[in-house]
Amino acid sequence: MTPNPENSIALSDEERDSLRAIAEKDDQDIAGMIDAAGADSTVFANFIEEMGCTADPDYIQIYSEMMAIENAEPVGVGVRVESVKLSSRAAPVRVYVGNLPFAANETLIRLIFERVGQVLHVSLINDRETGRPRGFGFVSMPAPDAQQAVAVLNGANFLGRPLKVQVAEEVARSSRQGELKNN
Amino acid sequence: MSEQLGPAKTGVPLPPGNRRTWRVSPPDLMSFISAENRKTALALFDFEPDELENGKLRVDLRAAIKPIEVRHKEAFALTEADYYIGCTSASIEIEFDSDLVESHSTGAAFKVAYKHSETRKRSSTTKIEPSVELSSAIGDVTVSAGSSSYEAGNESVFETSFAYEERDLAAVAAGKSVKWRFDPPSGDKAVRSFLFCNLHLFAICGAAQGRQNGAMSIKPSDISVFGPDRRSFAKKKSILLLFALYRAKRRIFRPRGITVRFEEVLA
Repeated sequence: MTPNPENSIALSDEERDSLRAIAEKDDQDIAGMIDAAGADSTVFANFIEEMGCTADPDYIQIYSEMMAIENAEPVGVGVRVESVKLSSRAAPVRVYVGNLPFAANETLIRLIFERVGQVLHVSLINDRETGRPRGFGFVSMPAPDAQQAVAVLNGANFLGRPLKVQVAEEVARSSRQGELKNN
Repeated sequence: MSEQLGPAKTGVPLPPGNRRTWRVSPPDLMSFISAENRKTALALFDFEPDELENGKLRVDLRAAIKPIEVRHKEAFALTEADYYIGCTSASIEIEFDSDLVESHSTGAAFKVAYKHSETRKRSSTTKIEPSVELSSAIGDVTVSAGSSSYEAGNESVFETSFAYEERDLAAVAAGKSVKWRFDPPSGDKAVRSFLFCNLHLFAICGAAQGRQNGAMSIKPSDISVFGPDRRSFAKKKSILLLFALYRAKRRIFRPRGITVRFEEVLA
């Protein structure tokens, strides 16, 4: 009998212990399993892409929890921003967020935008007929926070796609009309 | 530089008995990938084209869907693995560019430990070459290395065998393509083990005049980690076990499946 057959993945002691630590956790202890596997949302995002599971809610939930666990302030994938403290007293502004993968949900978008400022409301748009997400949505934020969100998040890599973030056009248009009236 | 690939279909009949050669890209057939990639793949296939005496083209697919065994480096070969990475469903598809699928393997219900062997004599001689795209300072070139040859008159043996748990095979043909899909049997019986099978499938397309090109794919789905008892872990635990292996650079080969394009080489 020969050890370690050639047709199998041969684990080192460390790898075996790491897998065992995850396997022995209670099935409901997601945080414990993430801790045992190593919380790294950037690597996890790459893993989701490679597995082709960007629309799988279980993968996305783990990704979301990993982001929440990390002490750092990741935004999307591979983007980090400094802490931002801006006034939340200003009037709310709707921020358009587009180029979203199917995997995106309101909780995840809120988590990302909260790294930049105060989030008042998140709404992702679904197709009326099919019910499937259309890949864009709106985030309501105080005006200064919205400006910051556009500056920081536009183009940020989110699950392998560059986010498109801008102040919603209708807000911008009404703003322009208001300026014309004032003049 | 190698031969040029022919157009999708020229309409010019090839002389009978002509040796026909197809080039596959990327070269991800079972015959061409490395032993390391075979070890860490969940679903693989080879294909064997044959020009029939009536001039039609028959393509036989040999598919293998298997778990990846994960065990400690000092574990013995004949012991159960510590973990298995496997899939519980899979699909296989072949699509021809030009001609309609006229006949194909039909659906079936495979019971536990099903085994069937089929031998057929080949009508023509064909060759499959891997195609590798290389980029260099002087431009892009296509090279081929190694090949699989199938001689007229020789017999090919195709085996279908299933282990562990039953699955239903459904076949859907639509014009130029046929798709087979394995799923657990309908009803409330919970399938908890992974797919582990060899499978023979075939498709025959219309008049094999001119060059016959197309694409084939095999895609595992519901990839999970299973224990030594071949029962899957809870979904999120399974994901995190896979992630831990991914972080340790223990990657699955083409976890989203393998798609290859085959194009007949202009002689």
